[in-house]
Amino acid sequence: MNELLRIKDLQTRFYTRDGVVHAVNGVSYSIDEGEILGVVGESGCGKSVHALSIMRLIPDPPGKIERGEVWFDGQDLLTVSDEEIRKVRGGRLAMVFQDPMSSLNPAMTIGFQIVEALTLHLGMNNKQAEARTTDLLTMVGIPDAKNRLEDYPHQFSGGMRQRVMIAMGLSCDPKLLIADEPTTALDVTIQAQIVDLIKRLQAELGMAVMWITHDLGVVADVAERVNVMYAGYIVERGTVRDVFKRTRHPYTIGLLGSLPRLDEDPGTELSAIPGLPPDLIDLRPGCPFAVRCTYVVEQCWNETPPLEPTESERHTVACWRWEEIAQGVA
Amino acid sequence: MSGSLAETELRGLGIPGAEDQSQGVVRSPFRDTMRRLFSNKLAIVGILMLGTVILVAFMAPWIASQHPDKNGIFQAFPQNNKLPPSMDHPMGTDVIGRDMLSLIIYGARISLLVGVFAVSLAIILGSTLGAIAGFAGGTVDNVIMRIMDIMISFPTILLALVIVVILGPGLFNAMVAVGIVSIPAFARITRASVLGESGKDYVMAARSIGAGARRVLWRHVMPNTLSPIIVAASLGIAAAILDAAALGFLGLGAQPPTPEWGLLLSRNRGYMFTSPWMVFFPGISIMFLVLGFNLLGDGLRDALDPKLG
Repeated sequence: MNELLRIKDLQTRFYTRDGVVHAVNGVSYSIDEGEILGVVGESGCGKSVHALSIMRLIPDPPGKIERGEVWFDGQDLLTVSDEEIRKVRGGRLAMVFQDPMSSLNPAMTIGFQIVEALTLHLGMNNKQAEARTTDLLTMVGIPDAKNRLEDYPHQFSGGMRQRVMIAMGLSCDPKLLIADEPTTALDVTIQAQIVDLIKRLQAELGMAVMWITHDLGVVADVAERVNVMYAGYIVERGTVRDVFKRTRHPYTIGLLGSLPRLDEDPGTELSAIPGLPPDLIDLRPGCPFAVRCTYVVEQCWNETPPLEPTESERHTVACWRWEEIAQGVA
Repeated sequence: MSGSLAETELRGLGIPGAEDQSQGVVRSPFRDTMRRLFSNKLAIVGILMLGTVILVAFMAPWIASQHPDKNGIFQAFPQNNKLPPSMDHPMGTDVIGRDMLSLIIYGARISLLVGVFAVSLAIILGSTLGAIAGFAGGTVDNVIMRIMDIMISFPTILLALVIVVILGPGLFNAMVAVGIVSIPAFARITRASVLGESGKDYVMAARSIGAGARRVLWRHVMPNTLSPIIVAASLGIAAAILDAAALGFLGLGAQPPTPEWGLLLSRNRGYMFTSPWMVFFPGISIMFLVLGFNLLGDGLRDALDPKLG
């Protein structure tokens, strides 16, 4: 498989009045062509910020991409000109946002909003663009698409709007679609429909998808590989099977442990990870998870563990005690 | 509002029968607004008042009994001076025997022109500055808005006076002055509105499909900031008409023999006690037009932002 995206040591900070927020702290990984990568973690762990950094959509000020490289399709997106990155955005690299209720411009018809992307990137005339827009809307499952081009966002339900957003994301045949919690704002039945839709389109169009979510169930369902993020770090990365079955990081263990299980006695209380995610403003040295970790040792407080391969080269984890955890002694 | 919301949801779910309620009607935001506007009695009164003035202004050559010559001068009939209202002169005559009604009818054109011109100028300059300030932020924002703060800290009529003194008295310069004075109000409203909209997800979404900053601001953000600007424009026209009338009254706006309402008030104020109709009718005309714009402005505010209800 060819590598499509390679991120090296990406670091993003926000300079706010209260202090410097260390949102993304040296993230490195890659996505292959046609792969679905899941990115999971609690709210505020840097999932969305790192995705926005890839597209260079961090509001600056207060945000700043401090360092790193984002190699996409032969270009380092962090060093190309503004004009160049605009060509990439929405073209080869597209994004679907979390809240379909607010991601569509309320003052424009949905037809216009998709046509805009097509005329911007593919240089289509209005007629071609409208025909393609109709095709796209049909493809994402909007009935009677031709007659809905002139409708405004408020005339669509949440699930339908997310379909429109997906159609917009797909309009220019992206090589990578970043889906930033595309199902979070939707109710459960609609969630399942959207998950199926993106899976189907991914298979049909052969694009790569970065699926950002805090729903481990969705990740297990759709993704091939997973990045588990915590406090702006990737703490565990590997195939879904490795991460879910041979979990090596205490945080991932906690996340999985906090899921309700069907085969469990209904009376069992759900376990939760104690404490809160750290305040990213004064991130102390050492392992970011140490405060909440049940496996914590002296070393964790002083040295940040690097992301290292475990039993398998493709399964990496950032924990000093992964081996002990693997052997079940800790 | 709640009815239309339910309707939208029903349509979205594709429930049969839900479609029938809105047969073929495109429920654009514009239509919604108009429907709400026309269900507001006071707004309709305002629209009727404005409609009357606009109609009168357009029809002036056909409904006035006396017309200006090609130099804009109404002929004086000294023998008819200071006639009280009668069938021949429904609003009486002034000190040189001109028909007050005709003067006021032609004056309506001036007041409308003043209001629309001044506010257009203020919107073009003020909203552009405000939009840039709100969207660019940082130093640009600071510089623009501090200048606006300085302008807004002068009493409007005083600032307008200063500008007229610099430019020289006259109707056009008065319109420019009133327009300039209104710039900060529009800059502030637009900036606040742009700031509010810029943080919304659709702006990020627009950028994520590759739209540049200029495109995002003018094509995506601005259409969503129009509501407060439209309301401010309607109310601003009223204020501009008042300011222009005040300048006319002070002798710095329209010059005689222009039948500008404020000027008529000022020229006739010496006869207020002996021939009250000479000041009553110009005064009531100003009030009528200003009230019309204010009622429309209030109605528009309610119609455009139902949340304020």
